[in-house]
Order: sequence, then C-alpha cells, then structure tokens
Amino acid sequence: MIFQQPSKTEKKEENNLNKQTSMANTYSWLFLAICATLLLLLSSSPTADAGALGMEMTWIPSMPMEEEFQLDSEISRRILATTKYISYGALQRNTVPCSRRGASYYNCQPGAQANPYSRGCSAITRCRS
Amino acid sequence: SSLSDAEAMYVKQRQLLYYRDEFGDRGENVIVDPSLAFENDRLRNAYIALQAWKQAILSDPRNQTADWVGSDVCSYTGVYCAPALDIPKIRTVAGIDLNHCDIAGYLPEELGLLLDLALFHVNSNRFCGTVPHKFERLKLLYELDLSNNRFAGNFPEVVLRLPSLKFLDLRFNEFEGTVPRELFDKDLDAIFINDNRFVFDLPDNFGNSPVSVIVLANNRFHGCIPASLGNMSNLNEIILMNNAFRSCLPSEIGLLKNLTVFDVSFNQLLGPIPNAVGNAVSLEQLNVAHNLLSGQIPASICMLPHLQNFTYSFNFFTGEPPACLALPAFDDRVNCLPARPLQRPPAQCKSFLSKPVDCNSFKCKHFVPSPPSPSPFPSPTAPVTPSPSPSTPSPFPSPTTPVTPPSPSHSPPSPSTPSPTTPVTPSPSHSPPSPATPSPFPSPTTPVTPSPSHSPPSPATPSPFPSPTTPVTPSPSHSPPSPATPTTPVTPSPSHSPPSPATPSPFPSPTTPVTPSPSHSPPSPATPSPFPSPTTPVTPSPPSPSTPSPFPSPTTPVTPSPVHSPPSPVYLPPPHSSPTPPAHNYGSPPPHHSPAQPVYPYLSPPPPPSVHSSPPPPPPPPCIELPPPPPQSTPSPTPYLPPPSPSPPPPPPPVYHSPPPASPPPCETPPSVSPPPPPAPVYEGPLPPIVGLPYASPPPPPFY
Repeated sequence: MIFQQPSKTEKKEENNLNKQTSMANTYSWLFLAICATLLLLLSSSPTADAGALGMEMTWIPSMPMEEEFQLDSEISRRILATTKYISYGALQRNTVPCSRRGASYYNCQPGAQANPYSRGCSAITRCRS
Repeated sequence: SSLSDAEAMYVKQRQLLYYRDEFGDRGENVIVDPSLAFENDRLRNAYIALQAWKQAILSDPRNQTADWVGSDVCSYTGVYCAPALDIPKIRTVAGIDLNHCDIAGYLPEELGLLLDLALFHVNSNRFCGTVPHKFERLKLLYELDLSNNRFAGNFPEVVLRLPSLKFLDLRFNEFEGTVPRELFDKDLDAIFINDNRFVFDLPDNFGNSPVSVIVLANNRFHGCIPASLGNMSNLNEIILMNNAFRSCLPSEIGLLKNLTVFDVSFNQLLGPIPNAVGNAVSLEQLNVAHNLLSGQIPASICMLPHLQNFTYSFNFFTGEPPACLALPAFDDRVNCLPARPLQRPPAQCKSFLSKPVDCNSFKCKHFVPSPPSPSPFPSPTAPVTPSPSPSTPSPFPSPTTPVTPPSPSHSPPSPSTPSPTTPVTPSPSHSPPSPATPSPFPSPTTPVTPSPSHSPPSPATPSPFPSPTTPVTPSPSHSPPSPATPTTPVTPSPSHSPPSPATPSPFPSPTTPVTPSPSHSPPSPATPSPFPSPTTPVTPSPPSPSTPSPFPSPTTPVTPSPVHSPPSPVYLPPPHSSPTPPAHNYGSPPPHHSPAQPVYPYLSPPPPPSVHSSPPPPPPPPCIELPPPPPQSTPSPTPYLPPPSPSPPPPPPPVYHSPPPASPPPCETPPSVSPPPPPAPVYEGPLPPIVGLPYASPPPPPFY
C-alpha cells in the first residue's frame, strides 16, 4: 500500500511537469490523468465509500422539518461554523450560519426563534452558539 | 381601518394588473375571505403576502406550505412572529425561514407587505427571478439569505435601499454583471456573493465597507486588490480566491489588526508579498497559492503569533526563511526555492524571473486612509501600552532566557523592517507603523510563554480601549470556557479552547511532538520540554487544555481537512480539466498535509487524511470521548449518523445531483459505511460539469 502510494504521487507529478513542459501532449496527459484517477479510486475503495456516503450526507441540510429538529439536538447549530471560519464555510452551497429554523443568525440559541428581533452579537464572525 | 382601506385599494390595483403589474410581475390574485378574522391588520397584510407567495410557488416537494391556510399566519411553517417593535402589544411576522425546503417559484412583490420582517432566510431552494422591488419597504430587514437558489439578472439593487440590512448572502446563484460600488458604502456586517457570475473591478471605495467577513470567491472579479483594504478595521475574514485579480498585493493588508483569514489563492497576483503583511498580527489562515508571486517570503509573516496555515505553493518564490518551515501547516511546493523538494524546473524559474515586476504598471489607486481613522488616536496610546508589557514579561524573560536569545535576534529585524517602512509610507500610515512596531515585540514573546501570550495581546492592541479590555478579556476567556464545559463538557470546551489565547500556545507544542517527521523530531524534544513545564505550573486550567492537547493534534488535521476537502473533491475533476494545468494544481492542495512531513511522507499523505476522516464518522462514542474532535468533526460525523436512514429518499431527487458534488468535503469522512457504494457511481457523473465552472479561471495562468 505504502509503496503503491508513492508511485501514484510520482505519476501525478510527472503528469503535472509534462503538462507544464509540453502543451502538445494535452491528450496523452489527459489519458494518463484519467488512468491515475481511476487507479486511485480503485485502490482506495474505502474512499469511494466515503465519497458515496459523503454525497448522501449532503442531503442533511435539506432534510424535512422533523429531521432538522433531530439534527439540531445532535450537531452544532452553526453548520458554517464547523470550519471555525464562516468564510470558508460559505464556500459550500447548502450551509447556513445557524441551523435553528427561525432564529437569527446573530442569536443561534434555544428558543431564539420566538423572537427574530433578538440578537446576541453584532459581528457574525464572532457569533458562537 | 385607514390602513385597511389603503390596503384594499392596493389589493384592487393588484387585481386590475392581474396579468402584468407595474414591475412586470405576474400579479397574484389574492382575495381575502370576508369570513376570516385577523388578530390585527399587520397579520392581515401578512396573510395577503403569504398567499401571494404560495401562488407563486410552483413546486413544494416537502409540502412546507401545506399549512399556509387560514388566518392564523403565525402558525404557518417557516413563519415566525414576535411582538412588534413599535407596538409590543400586537404580534407581527418578524421572520421567514424556509432554509433547505427545496421550493421552486419566485418572490412576489406582495412580500413587501411584511413591513416588520427582520430576517428572510431561503437558503437551498429553487427560487428564480430576482428580488422584489417592494422589498425596499422592509425597513427592519436585518438578514437577507437568498443563497443557493436560481436567482439571476444583475445585482439586486433594492438591497442597497434596506436601511437595517447587516447580513447579505447571495452566494451560489446566477447573478451577473457588476456589483454597485454603493454596496461597499453600506453599513453591513457580512457580504457573501461568492459563486455567481459577477464580473468587475473592485472599486476604490471597497475599503469603506465595515464588514467582519466578505467572500467574493469563484466569480470573475479582475483588476486590482484595492489598497483601501487597509481601512477595513473590522475585517476578520476575506476570501477572494479563484477570480482574475491581477496586481501586486497591497502592503496595507498589514493594517488589518483583526484579520484572521486572508485567501487570495487562484488569481494572477504578481510581485512580492509585502513585508508589512507581517503586521497583521491576528492572521491565522494565509493563502496566496496559485498566483505569480515571486521574491523572498518575509520572515515577519512566518513569525506571526497566530499563523496556523500558510499556503504559498504554485508561485515563483525564491526565498523562504527557516521560520516558515516551523509553522503548524505550510505548503511551499512548486516554487523556485533552492534546496526544497517539488520545485519548478530551473529553466521555468529563470524564464519567469528574468522579467522583473513593476507594481506601478498596474496603476492601482494608492492608499488613502479613511477620514475618521481611529488608528492615529490609538497610536499615541500604543507606545504607552508596550511599556507595561515589557515590565510584565520581565519575570518571564528569566525562564524564557533560553528561548529569548533567538527571539531577540528576530525582534531586531522586525523593528528594522518597520523603520524603512515608515519613510516609505505616507504620514497617515506613519501612525499605523508606530503601533506596528510594538506588535512585533509581543509576537515573539507570545509563542515563547503562554502567559506572556496574554500580555503581548494587550500591547499588540494599539488602541487604548482594547488594551484595558484585553486584560479583562483573558479572565472572561477562561470563564466562558469553564461554564461552557459544564454546559456541554464535550463540544463547548474544545470550541472555546481554540478561541482562548492561552490554548493556542499549548496546542502547537503537542502538535510538534505528534509530528513523526524526523526533521521536526529533533526540535520537538527540545521545544516541548520548556513549554509544558511552564504551562502546567502557571495555570491550573492548562491541565484541561493539556488533556485536549493530544486531541487538538488530530483536531488540527481535521480542521485543515475540511479546508482541503473542498480541493480534494476538485481533484477528481482534474482528469476532465487536465488540459488546464491550474486545475490539476488545484487538486494538489490536498497533499498540503505532506509538506509538513518529509519527502517520503509526501507520498503517504493521501491515506492519513482519509484515515482521520474515516475513524470520526463510524465511532460516535469516540466523538463523545474526544472533546476536541467533536467540536469540529462532531458536526460532520454526528449529522451523518441520522442521515443514513433519510439518505435513501434524498438520492431520488435528481435536482440534488449538483449539491452533492458541490459539498464533496463530507465524502472523506463517511468511508466506512457500505450502503454508500451503490450511489457512488451515480455521483461521479455530475462531478465534472459542476466543478468545471470554477475552473473557468484556472486556464488564464499560462505562465506555468
């Protein structure tokens, strides 16, 4: 396994250099890149599983109300905050600063939805649930 | 009653314009049933607005609006009422939250009847069209989240006329054209307009924006990165990655004392990284990868007290100070650094570096400090503050003596750097330099001793107000974590520990010994010995952070993994975008972990991150046992557990084939689950086309 990894890395590096040095070999580079990718996917089946599961995980943000409540009780109210940085979190499309439906993004606390006018902080980057 | 009459007229007019109203809107015909009794006129107007919206909704697969019937508007799904701010005795609609409802339709003008609306959240739906002009009537609207929908057209200028707006999220839509400069003169706290089709140059008034965070990534912004950036004193995070900015980096970045995230990767920036960037004392994430930068990496940058990740790969840097190799995470691959692995071919470097970069040729506007610049006021206090700080560290210097020798050697160069900067910078910038000078002193002290790290922060803060506040903050920083611990012993403590200044110092030390790299092993045995000893006896709380210290090490790699996970999924597309070298390069970021390790580890890096991601998701118990991982990994793995059951139904909706690839990051975490395999092949298909969009910009860098 360890030995196999290096070879893949080397191959990727070669492809990269080859691409940089010769634009004419675009097609051959593409072919090699595809092979490398396929090899990577095949050699790391667990990763493929992870990917597949990950894809399913993306549905979480869009789960029904009931599921959302369940979600609230199990995960952080701040999905965007999972990366610690709200800016990097915003690079994902279906994330929001607070998963508590109805609560202000500036007051992600239990019961906050009862009063959307209530805010606990003034800078979204400093808001922590 | 008068309002009612006016409203009646309004409704009548609406009906008359059934086929095409004043704004070309497809007027909804809302007739209020005479038998309905409303609590007050506002709820009656809300009824009209919501019924109009219901008529404008073309698809609601989750039947979220099924209960939008009757006069009890406050019980409608997604509708939140509260006592009106002007008349507390009456209830009114204060918030609309339909995030993740997958509803298709458009926003009718009638929504402008929700006069008391403070928040409007509709993330992850399929609304199209644009923002209703009547939205300008929403004087209390504070949060507008239209992200991840199908809105199109030019920037919705009605947004500029919302007096109370603070949070604006238009990301992941199809808006195009320019962004009105008025946006940056508006008193906003957050601007998210990434992943759209905006094309324009950032105006010189960009720095007038008081936002704490702004994300412009994945658009087609070009031109200069405004020097006025230096006026954004409230700025904490800014991401300009993957655009077409072409200029030198403004040295005014160093004026941003509260900046923690600065990401300008994947652009066409040239020239050197300004030495002044080393004055951005709060910087934690610095990413300038995939540009055309050259020159020496300033040592002041790698000596920033809180810098966690410095990525400068895929550029043409020729010099790298030793301090950079000691950072928690860094990436220097594919540059022109001598004696470093994975660099560019000499010929390529020679060719590029033979043509010096003239920053003046870009004709970027020069920096003009904002009139109400608060920096000059704090500057006089700054020199006073540092005096007490040196006295405080006086006792620490003795135990720090062994480490002090190297720090002084660094301090001399840092003050020397600002001195030449002073004459170069204009008078207004002179004041900032004075506070900048003292900051370098505390920075070297911080990494040495944890307690000194507290005192340094106070002197680091040039303004007089923050100086007294800082000493107070330390104690509250501890108190918050302690109460947080009892509240949720697992999640809160780790989440709070990172923010505490004391915690970061112990984190790096344990991280170093954890690193198996031989190059790091030699320094690790020496470094940890003095760090842990002074840390433990100094504060009793350290023991709790010390316990999480080993977890932080795995936590740290977890944190960067999500940052890298976005690139890793992008790595899959490389084969399709292979003709574009930058695309392939983007895929390389994942191995970013490897740079922290020797050449050999570079090869093994791939498995480690996957391993780290796989363990977290399957073992829910470990999440509880591991306090540190839970705060960062918990949110991802925990929600993944319940998803398995609901996940089967979601796959059917073909619409979501696009979202999955967009958020591939979680792909790495759930590898242990077998059910996923079947859908895997389906997801591979749509990956290329979606990721292909952002790659539209990578092609430009032919210099590679």
